[in-house]
Amino acid sequence: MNLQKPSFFLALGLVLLALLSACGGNGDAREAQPSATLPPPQVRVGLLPTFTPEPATLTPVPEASGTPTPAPQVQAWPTLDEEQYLLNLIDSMIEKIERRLNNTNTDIRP
Amino acid sequence: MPRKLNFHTLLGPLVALLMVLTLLLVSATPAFADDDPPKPIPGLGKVSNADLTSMYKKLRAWYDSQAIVIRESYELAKQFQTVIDFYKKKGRDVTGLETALVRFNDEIIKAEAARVYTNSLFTRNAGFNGFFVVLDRSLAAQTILEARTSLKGTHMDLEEAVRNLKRDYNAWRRWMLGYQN
Repeated sequence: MNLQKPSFFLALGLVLLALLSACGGNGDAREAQPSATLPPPQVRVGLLPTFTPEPATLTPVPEASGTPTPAPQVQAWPTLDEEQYLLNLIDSMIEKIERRLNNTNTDIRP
Repeated sequence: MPRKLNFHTLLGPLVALLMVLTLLLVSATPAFADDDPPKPIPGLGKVSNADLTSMYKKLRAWYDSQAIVIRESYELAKQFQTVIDFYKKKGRDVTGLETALVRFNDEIIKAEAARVYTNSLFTRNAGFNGFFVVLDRSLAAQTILEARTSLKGTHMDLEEAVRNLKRDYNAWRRWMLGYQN
């Protein structure tokens, strides 16, 4: 045998690395399984929603009559007094905490 | 006679070192393992290492959720105090509300104290590494069981605290409405 020491180690190393990579390849084989692909969606062209802009039509302006129409009343946002506001706030805060506690997933099993 | 160091001299030991490191890495990291069969653990049933990791992550999420509940509970207590001050200014009897708030605060503090223990469990991270990978199955299972018990206790404490506060608050409101009429 005419091999020198470093060359021997190099060859040994390469062989072991090749073996290791081969083992690793087997481990990943499970993940490399091809998954079934979904069929393309069957959509009929006729059912696709299409947008056709309507021609601009002028709405006829009602002719001004003798009696003036009453001005539209602006619906004001209902205001609450401070007392009601405070009580409602407490209610909503309690409800929020209860909901969070009830929605907590306490089952840790996989 | 001293030998001169050159690339050829070092190549062999370097390759050997690389091989040893590779072998250590492969054997020490379960992620590289080919399979992870479920094995029985007392208290948890038949679970694999991946299951243990999943359970541990769920417990961490539960812990985070509890942190939000406790923060909201403190906000509720603060708002409750505002209500008490409001009715005090109006000259109403708020003894019922004050008693309910003191009790609620005590229960929240108790829940917080229980969370300190849970926090220590997660900080210790026994049986897992920093990436939630199982290093020791029995230690990991112990961590999971203890954390679950602690979190469940805190959960029940919080539920009871909110339930009591709601009951006392509603009772006071009914009483106050009767008082107003």
